[in-house]
Amino acid sequence: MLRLIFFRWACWLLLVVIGSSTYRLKAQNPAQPADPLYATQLEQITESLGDVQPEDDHNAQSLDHYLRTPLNLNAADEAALSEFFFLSPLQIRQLLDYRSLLGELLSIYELQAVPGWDPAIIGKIRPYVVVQQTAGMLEQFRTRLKGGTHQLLARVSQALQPSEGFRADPLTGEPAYKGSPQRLFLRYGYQYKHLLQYGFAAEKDAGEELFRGSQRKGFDFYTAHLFIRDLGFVHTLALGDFTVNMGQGLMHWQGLAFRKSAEITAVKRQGLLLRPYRSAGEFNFHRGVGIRLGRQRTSITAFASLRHLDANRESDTLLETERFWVTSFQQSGLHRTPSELADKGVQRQWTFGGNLSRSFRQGHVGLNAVRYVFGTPVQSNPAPYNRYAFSGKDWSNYSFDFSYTRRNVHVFGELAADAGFHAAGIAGCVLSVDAAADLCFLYRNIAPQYRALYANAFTENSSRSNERGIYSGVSIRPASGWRIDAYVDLYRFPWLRYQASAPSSGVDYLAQMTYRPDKKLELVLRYRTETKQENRPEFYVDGSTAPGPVTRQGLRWHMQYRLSASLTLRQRLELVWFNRRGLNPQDGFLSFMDFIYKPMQLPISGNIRLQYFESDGYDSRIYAYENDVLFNYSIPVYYNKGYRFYLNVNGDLSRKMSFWLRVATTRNTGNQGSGARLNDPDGSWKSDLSFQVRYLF
Amino acid sequence: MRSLVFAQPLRQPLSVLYPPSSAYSLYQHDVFSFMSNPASLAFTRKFSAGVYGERRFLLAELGVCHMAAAMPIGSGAMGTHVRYAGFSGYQETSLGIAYSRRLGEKAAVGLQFNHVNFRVPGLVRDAAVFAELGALLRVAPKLIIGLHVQNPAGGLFAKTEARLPSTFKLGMGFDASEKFHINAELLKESDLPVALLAAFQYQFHQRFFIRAGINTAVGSGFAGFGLAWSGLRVDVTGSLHPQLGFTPGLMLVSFPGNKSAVTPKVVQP
Repeated sequence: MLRLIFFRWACWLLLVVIGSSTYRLKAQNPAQPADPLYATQLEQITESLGDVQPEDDHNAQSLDHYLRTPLNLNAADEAALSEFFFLSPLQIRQLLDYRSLLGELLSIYELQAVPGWDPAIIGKIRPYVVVQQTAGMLEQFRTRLKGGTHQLLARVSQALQPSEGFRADPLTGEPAYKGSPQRLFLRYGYQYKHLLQYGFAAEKDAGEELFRGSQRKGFDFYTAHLFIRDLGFVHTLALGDFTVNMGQGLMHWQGLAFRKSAEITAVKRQGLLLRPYRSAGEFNFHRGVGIRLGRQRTSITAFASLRHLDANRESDTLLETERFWVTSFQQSGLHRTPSELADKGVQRQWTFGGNLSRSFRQGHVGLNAVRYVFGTPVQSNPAPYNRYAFSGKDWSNYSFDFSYTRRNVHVFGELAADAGFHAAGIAGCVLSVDAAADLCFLYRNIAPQYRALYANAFTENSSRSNERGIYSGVSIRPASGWRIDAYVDLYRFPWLRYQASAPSSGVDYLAQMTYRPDKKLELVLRYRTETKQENRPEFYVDGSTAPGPVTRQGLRWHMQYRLSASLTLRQRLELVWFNRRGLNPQDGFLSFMDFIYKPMQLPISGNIRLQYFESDGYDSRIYAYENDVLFNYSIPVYYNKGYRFYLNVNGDLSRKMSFWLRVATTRNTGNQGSGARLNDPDGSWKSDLSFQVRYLF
Repeated sequence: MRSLVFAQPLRQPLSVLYPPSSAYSLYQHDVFSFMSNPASLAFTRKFSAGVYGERRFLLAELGVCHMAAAMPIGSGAMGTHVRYAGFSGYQETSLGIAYSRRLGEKAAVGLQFNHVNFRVPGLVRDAAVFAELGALLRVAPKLIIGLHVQNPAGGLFAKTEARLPSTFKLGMGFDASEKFHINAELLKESDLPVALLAAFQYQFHQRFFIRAGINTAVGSGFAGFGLAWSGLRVDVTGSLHPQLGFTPGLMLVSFPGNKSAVTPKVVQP
């Protein structure tokens, strides 16, 4: 034991000597929180949601908070570390094992001694963590109430060219949208580390009214939360709005969940079981109470929620008693027109659920259950692909999940069943086969009949059911600065699905090469291809449709180069080929250049983008993540032909007050939309303006 | 003449995926590696022989058997193989002999001649000869790239005048360590689109390893594990074709003089 302690101190001293020069340099140039892989994930999530941009900004808020109040690595548990999406489950386990074996970290430099933590991952997490002695619970309670930070944020944005919905209807003389064209967002929050959070937010979308008409209470959407952690026996207490994330997402996962990407080890769902909800999205959260109690390695969680969801409600007045049923849920949160307002809050949903979890040194096991009770029966569209869609007034799901780490192997999985005893299973493993290579495998088998209302597992199918597949990924670092990531995903859909009128299959490949020789330069070359069977006119046989293979290929070149301490250049070129060997092939092209200006000595920074895009149609569309005001996502979809320009400016008016200003415009030079949809601006220009201010105190 | 059921071309390594998937490794290669690139024979340090068999899609009529042997000669090595596929109504055999030579410490070249014949009893019997050229270059201590050309002259069958397809391959292999290897090859067969063959091998114990990979031409994956003892190695393999189903296989490799390792220890040049 003495020799172990002496050896550890000797290593620490050596690491201080070697590492201090590097970290001293980093202290002079605070690391930037932006992560290009996170941007790629948001692009893919937007594509999977049918071009609807995600509104859950929990990850962004967490990183921003940890940037100002770094997480103490000596106090962080597995759940807290899993909030950093770029940490793999193996890396989290390796840090916890290191800490349990050798005690608390003495210094941030000691991270270099943790197995599996290379300089790249240390550089990523460095801005968000700190190494301190852990404090007692009583001392924490006193400082929780007064030691945190208050944050007040206000954002307004508007499209400068009014869309069709704001123009007076020639017949009625009234516009379709009753409210003003501004989108408003207000948020107040208090946070002390990860131990105490409370706050509220209010949001109004463009076209919704404010303090008049259909919105007498002011804003269209309100949210509030109180979130307490680590209070003795009470591990977590959530009051108000919160999200629940169980297992591997087969049953219930409301947080932002990543899809297939070049980050091949990011296949495991990980995060806090209960999370506070502070975002502007109006659908994917619970409202009520959640509590997690724990002693030593056992914990029990329970939650209850009552929501009034937007839904499309039909009625049948032929019977003596009018009968209602819901055909679909509306997740957009838009309440601009009388029809949208008629759908607002019509479906009452009670949710009850819980988790029993037992942790041990190398893993955990857990049991999960959730039950939903609806006020109005749900009856889905009776299409063949909807044969197994949920119908009824109540539903429930149950699952068992586990994880286990041994040496360089981490396995995880979940087995789930629904109220009809239809099964689903997912199992994966992450192997660190060498200091320069990682492997990842994931198998999922989800019955066509399986239904879970808030599932968000690692699947190809957006419905999270009717799928069998195996995913394999590899990441190698063959030489200093080089990294090659690749995956292959083979999957099959045993039953029909939307736009596939027979059982179908598909295969996805991705290969990405990254060259990052130093902190100044990063080059990325990525090739991705997806072949999936779909209904298309060229596959008609004797008047009936059978799905045939449709291939979408993409090649992306991305470069980021720091020209100086304050100026960074970012450039991308992307090509897309859709169905090259079929009827109506389409090609797409997109290229942009960003200039990012962040002077060290001035309280102002900005970035500008110049972009050109051209594609034959919607099938060859391209998504491109854009810098936006803090906590706001911008992932537009580009097709047809045109130019895009935006300018972001961010400044610190004082130590406590900051502002963000964004001007963006797109000029379509190709075929114009007819403007027939209410949200389409008429004409070739589409511009929007955003302004946000934040006050910290 | 197109390959039988497309997924079973005897003259190419397209279908028989498992055995030759370690050609670009200094540590993981074996007697079947030269089926992917004849230049990899140069890694042979001791005599080795092996046999591989599989029942394609679990159909007796589509059984395949490969036998190979290799031995070092001077600054190179020599290898031979026999391949057989078919049933009573159709048989196809291939006999090949290969020679490979090291060029210094970082390069190797190989040449192979194959005699292929097929027979449909009572109908036709024909044969052809074609050549293969291969080269490997060790561009970094852990990185090898290779080039392989098969039947560049476009050989013909004598009687039926069917033309054998030409194939061109460009590959790369990375030995992360003595225990982990990964490689990828781009394969272009005449009149067919480019395909990618990729595989990895991980030796997690002195006696055990796993190997897996994929062939994008048909979206087919394969995997297997190997067990070694007393100079003998047994691999149990399987591959999955998305439409035609599962193919089991078994491989035996003998390398006398090695007691326990999965592959003979390679003496670094």
